[in-house]
Amino acid sequence: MPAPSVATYAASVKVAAHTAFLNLVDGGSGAGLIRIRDSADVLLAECTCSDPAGTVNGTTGTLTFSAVTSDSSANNSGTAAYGEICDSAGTVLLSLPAQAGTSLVSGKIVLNTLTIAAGSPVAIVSVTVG
Amino acid sequence: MAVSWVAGTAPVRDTNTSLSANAPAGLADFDALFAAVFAGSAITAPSGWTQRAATSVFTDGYALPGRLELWQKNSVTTADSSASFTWSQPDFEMLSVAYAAARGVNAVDSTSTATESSSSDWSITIPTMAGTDAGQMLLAIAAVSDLDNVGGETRTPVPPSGTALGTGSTADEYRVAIAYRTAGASDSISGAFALHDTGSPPTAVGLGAISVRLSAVGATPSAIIGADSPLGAAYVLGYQMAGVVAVESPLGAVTARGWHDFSGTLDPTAQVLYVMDLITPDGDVRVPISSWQGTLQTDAAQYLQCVVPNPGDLVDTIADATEFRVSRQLRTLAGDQIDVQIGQAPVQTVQYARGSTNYSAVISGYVDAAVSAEWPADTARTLTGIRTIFTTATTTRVSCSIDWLLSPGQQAIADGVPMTVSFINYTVSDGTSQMDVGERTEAP
Repeated sequence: MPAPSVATYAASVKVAAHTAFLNLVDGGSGAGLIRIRDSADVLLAECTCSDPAGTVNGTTGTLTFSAVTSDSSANNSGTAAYGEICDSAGTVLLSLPAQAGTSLVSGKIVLNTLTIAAGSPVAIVSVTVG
Repeated sequence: MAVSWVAGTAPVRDTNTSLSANAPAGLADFDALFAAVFAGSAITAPSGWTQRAATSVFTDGYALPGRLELWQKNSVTTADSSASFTWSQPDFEMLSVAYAAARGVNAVDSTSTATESSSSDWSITIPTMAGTDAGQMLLAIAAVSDLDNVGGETRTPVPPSGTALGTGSTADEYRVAIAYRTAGASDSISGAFALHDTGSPPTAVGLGAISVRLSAVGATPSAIIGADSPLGAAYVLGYQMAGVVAVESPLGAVTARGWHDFSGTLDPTAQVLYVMDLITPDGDVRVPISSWQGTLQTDAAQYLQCVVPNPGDLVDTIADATEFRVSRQLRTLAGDQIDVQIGQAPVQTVQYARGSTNYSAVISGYVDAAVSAEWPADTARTLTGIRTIFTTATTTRVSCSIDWLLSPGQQAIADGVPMTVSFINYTVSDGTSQMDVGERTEAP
């Protein structure tokens, strides 16, 4: 094996780590949740994950979330500041800062607009880990 | 590296079941932050603090003693500078808090306490604390049960000889005070710590004291704290040493994408504007554009181009720009302005064209193909203003009005027939705008 230039985990480790995360998302009595909040922590929208929330690729370890049920009517108007991935009890497992745009950005939840209007639909298009 | 004093705060007090007080300003990562807390009943610290020492401070006339406790924040970052922390107790009694911060601290090496249950003066003899190694710091902390009897006077604590008062020189009613000195193996602190410099209390008071020795970073650490890799965080080997070794968590990078249909809130009568921002090292610069075009697609590089009219004053800014971003400016029925990004690309090509009457700059760039995703069914968009539909064995192309909520990968419906959008070609200039939307079964 050639000397790595950076710390490198085996795929088996990634599989185990991402499976553990997936299990936490699915850990409640129901499906996991993805919430969008503003900077004052006001809930703007809440989408519901599939149950289980996704699948972990056994070769690469990548966790890909399955279809997320959209919020057909956003809870509140506001400027999206961050997103949360939670279990069904609302326990926050991962927080991601929000960013407007059209391209994926590592470590961010990218939305076509940060301006959320109450009553309008919000969808989660994709979530991947690793 | 010797321990150094960073800052202390004047005591904050109240008669209540809780008290919020701000930490000192100017804290850095890995500083040691301490709180000296006097309370009439059991102290509940904010989350993330650990008690290091405690002693009784008997309150005159009360059945249960008050107490003086020393707490240390488990981990300190710059974000803790001037942060507010709330201390509480079950009974409606006096609470007082003073903070002290030091740098280069390895650990609380030793503590010792003293108490005087019924004193006829304002001072207490602190426990002697000696240094054991170079670069250490010794702290003397004292508290008194009652200063109410000192009416109309400025209460000035007098710390033990050889120490400096770290928590302010005067206060309305000192309950706690912290003094410090740097120390080596031959240094120590001892003697009287007075909470007030004048006279004696008219009635007996209770006093408490805590002496502390802080060891320095660079000394043989007393403990190494290793933390299992938490989700998304680094694994830290070693703490409060000269450096940290971080290993990336096995959890990979997270990407997430959301979509919001805000079209129902838009003012249909408001003028639609297109704006372009040049992204420079000094920040974004908004410049006018006369036209733009772009191609967003999933299976090939994406393209963005815009035309800047009369760019004479912008030549340097364009040269400094690393990327450019085209956005659509909308207005809601409530009158709020929304900028919705259409695309962003690196400034790869700049072409200036100067004629007898026109002068313009064409800026363009390519970015990687959009990542395909399975969009939720309820995000499908029905195309409007259809002009033409062109179909081959491998391609469907629809020329229609621009749908600003459509992205590559989404479902689009043209004349009732759904397709998965592979590409969107936008063309906007001088009041005209259109898009060509297409699905292709083979990559170009």
